[in-house]
Amino acid sequence: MHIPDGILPAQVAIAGYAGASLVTWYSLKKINRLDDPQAHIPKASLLTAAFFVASWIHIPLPPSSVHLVLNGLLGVVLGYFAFPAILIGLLFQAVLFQHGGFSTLGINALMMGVPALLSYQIFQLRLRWGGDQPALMASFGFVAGALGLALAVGVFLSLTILNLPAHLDGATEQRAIAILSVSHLPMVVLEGTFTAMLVLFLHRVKPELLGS
Amino acid sequence: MMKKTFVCSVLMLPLLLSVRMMSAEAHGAQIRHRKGVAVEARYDTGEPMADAQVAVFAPGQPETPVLTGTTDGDGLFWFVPEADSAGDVTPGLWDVQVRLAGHGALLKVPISAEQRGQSATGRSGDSDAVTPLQRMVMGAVGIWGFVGTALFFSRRSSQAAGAPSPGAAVAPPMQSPLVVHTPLTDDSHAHS
Repeated sequence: MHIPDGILPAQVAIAGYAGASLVTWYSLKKINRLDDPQAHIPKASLLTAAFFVASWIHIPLPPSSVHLVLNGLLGVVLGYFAFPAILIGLLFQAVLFQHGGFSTLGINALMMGVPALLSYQIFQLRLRWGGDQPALMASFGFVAGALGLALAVGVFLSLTILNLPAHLDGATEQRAIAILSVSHLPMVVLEGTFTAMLVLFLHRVKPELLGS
Repeated sequence: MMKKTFVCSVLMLPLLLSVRMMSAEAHGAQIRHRKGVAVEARYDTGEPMADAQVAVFAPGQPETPVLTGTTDGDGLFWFVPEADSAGDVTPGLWDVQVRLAGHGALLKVPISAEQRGQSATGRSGDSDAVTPLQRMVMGAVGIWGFVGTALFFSRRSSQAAGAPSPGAAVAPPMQSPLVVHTPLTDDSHAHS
């Protein structure tokens, strides 16, 4: 899912950094308006660790293997903290494991972080539909968690296909990218289910973590 | 007549010889060794990148690849840096780009003019140089950093909520003289 160095042209990488800076600024501004921003840092930090580790959990699906992303889940639980959390998690993955890349850090952050913020907005929509009934929370949790990853896969698909170098066999590469994207569908369902379960669990044991 | 036949034979002789020589060469086998560059492409999980597209770029030509191909089932690809018309290989860093389904890497292979024909094996990225144990330790250190951050900030919030702490125990004795002193002055005013 992570776009490595050398895949995208320099203009796209620079635009990615510019966009990521803008969204980080906006997220920090929103965070700063909270009553006690520091009170949310422990859960943001722990979920950053979960995001950091998630990329180790590989599930073999041809032609390669796919791994957990959890961006939708981070958005649901962390709200505007999700974007900085994903940015820091991606930085650590790139530094320690060469997963992703430094030139594509901004574009990867946008690819996973913006869908996470949308997942947060979708999960918050449940409040308009009647509040915190378990069935409603599970449904919105599933849609938000699944859509977070689905949107990220869509952005990955678009970016890699639109920026194919001329020297590649375009048809072969497009087919490989399409197969990889389709192989993420089980992961979309899995992450949606996992998000719904976590939301129900948190609602039962510590509802204040959901920030509703 | 004899003379004419002889002339014809003389003229034909080189032709026959040349045909004979070509025939000998066609049945012979020429073997020469050319050492090249072996590229091994793997995902960071260790599994090989089979059937990945490979493009090789000579130094100073980052746009047009000098040769393209695909890796085999084990993620391997071999090539010999092409020589120019003078028989020289362009020295410098040759770029080898491997790509499959939006994943891939760019490997720089140093080749010098003197090294022509010498083999080199490159691996994409440095992650292969790290043992699984080292990866686990690095991961554990990273996780501990996040958990430690969480613990640090949760301690701050528990202090703010009024939980006792070593620092808070010092404060009451410093405030107590003021508390004692204030009623005394009030009393003195009352008596006066």
